[in-house]
Amino acid sequence: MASLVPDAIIRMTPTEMEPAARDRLLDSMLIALAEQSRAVLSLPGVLADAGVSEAEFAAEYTDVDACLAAAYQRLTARIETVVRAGCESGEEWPERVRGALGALLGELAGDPQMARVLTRTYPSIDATAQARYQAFVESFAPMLSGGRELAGSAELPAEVEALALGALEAILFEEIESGRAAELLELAPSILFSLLVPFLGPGQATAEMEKARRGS
Amino acid sequence: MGSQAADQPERRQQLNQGLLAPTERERLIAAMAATCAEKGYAATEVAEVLSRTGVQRKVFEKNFAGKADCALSAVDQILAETTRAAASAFRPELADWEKLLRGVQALLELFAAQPSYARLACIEARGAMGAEAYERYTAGIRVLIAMLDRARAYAAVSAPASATRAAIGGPEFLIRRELIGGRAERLPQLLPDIIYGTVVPFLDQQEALGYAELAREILRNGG
Repeated sequence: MASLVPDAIIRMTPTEMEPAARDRLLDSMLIALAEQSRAVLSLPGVLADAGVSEAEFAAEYTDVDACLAAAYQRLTARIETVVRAGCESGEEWPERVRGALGALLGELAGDPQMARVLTRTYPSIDATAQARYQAFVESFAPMLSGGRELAGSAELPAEVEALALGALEAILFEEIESGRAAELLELAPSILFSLLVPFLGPGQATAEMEKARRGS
Repeated sequence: MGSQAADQPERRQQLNQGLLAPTERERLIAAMAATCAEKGYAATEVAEVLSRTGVQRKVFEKNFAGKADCALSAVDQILAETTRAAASAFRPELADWEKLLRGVQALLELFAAQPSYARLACIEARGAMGAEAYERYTAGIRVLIAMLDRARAYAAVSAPASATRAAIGGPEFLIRRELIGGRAERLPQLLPDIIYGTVVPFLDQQEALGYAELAREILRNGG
């Protein structure tokens, strides 16, 4: 006779965490980081908020930093998925970049507290965390490389994708840091200019910026 | 805890050339920069800085109000050297484009020679060190924006207001990437790409590529 208990539950040890509990824990970790900073982050408080026991925590994570790393990875993976979906919305390369940018700005504007965790609070923890943030930003480079084909006969510099991403990151970091994350979507046309200009030059990048302003 | 001899660019230059023996204060600042570069500012402890230098805690406390004060001294030191390096490249007899090119080249060479300090100024002061350090970082960026805004006089089209900040963000990102990856020695080789990224929002694209080629020529000719 078949068991009435789902396989996933049978496989769990008594201290293994359910996916929903893990999600709550990782969310609580990032909220605690945003509100308290890493130096004073209280694990018992986070566990209480998430409804997770110490035994469950210990079965999955070696320490708070390992849990924070998992929470950050989950945050960046979610943003990457949203941005990739936005990138698939257009036919031509500039439209795809515009779609991806709109999706990214929408995510950040929708949750300014998490936007700051993404760009500053978590990366400031230590050198490894900073490297994770850098790698997250760099992960968008393949989405931009299609722009090379639009540069005509010009051979673009090897680092042109990184230059475009750095331009984007600088604006995002400053706006978030200045408490203006919620207004990021208003900057979409001018940020689009800076993302496109290393590939297309200022003339075409301006034309794309104007199209974005008109919403066409 | 005011600025002392260690923070003076001329003395730093002599120290870098091995012409002077560092004071305890200078050794502490150097060890703070090195430790922060390895672990990040937030994860750095004064005890480790003391252990690296063999300097006693009471000497540290005589020179600095605490970890933040010591790290800020290191940031001030590299910012003063950056200003000096950029100013020496901005010679009046040079054309505007060459001033920019030589200024960026001087900055990349300085950061390649002093990666720990560069990391402190470009990464830790920006994110981990608190309001006072962030203000120093943004003040440095404002100077660069003012310098680059001169390029707008040559602009082929009217770039948006944020384009200057963004044009500096590209090179910053490359610099941070090399510093994080422990490849600071590669920074001077990025000159052509960085020049391209800095001027392309304001010039015709072919002209920007031409400046990148000039930068390559400078590197081929040994600077």
